[in-house]
Amino acid sequence: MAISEEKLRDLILDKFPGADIDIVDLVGDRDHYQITVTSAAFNGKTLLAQHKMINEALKDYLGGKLHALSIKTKAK
Amino acid sequence: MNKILIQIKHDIDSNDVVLFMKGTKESPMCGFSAVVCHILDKLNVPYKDINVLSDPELRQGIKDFTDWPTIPQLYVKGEFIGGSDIVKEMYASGDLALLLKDLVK
Repeated sequence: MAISEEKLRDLILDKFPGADIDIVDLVGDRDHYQITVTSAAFNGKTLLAQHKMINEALKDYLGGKLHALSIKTKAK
Repeated sequence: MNKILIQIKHDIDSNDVVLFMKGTKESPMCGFSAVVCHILDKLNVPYKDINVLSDPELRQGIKDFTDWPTIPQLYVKGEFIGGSDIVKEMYASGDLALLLKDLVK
């Protein structure tokens, strides 16, 4: 199972409108991604809270269709 | 609370540092778990490793318990710290060393 980069981007943009999103397909199998999300929604939030927000946005995919995701968040 | 959640709570309460991981610290079965083991070893912090692959109920149970969808999961003094990305970032910033400074062996 895998998910396209476009789908991944859409899922995040849906929850974080206006976010800057950088996606790297680590292995080239559309199943191991590294994403960096920069969003004003992270302002004042702890790192753990920021990652929880990303997990929530991707909850239907993480651990299932999306095998491995490395997440980086930045406030803007 | 069901049996597995009680067991998880007990393990977290009775160990200062607990890592729920795939495989064991001697033989991690996943790159993300291995990274956290490596960092804890670097910081010279003893920890209890719990292999979620040993029990499907535990593997799901820890996700429900923490409300966190992925493994590994690091707990320090009863508090959930994060998964491998957060641990890596906190290690790089020095925050992790600060958090664990009293637990170094």
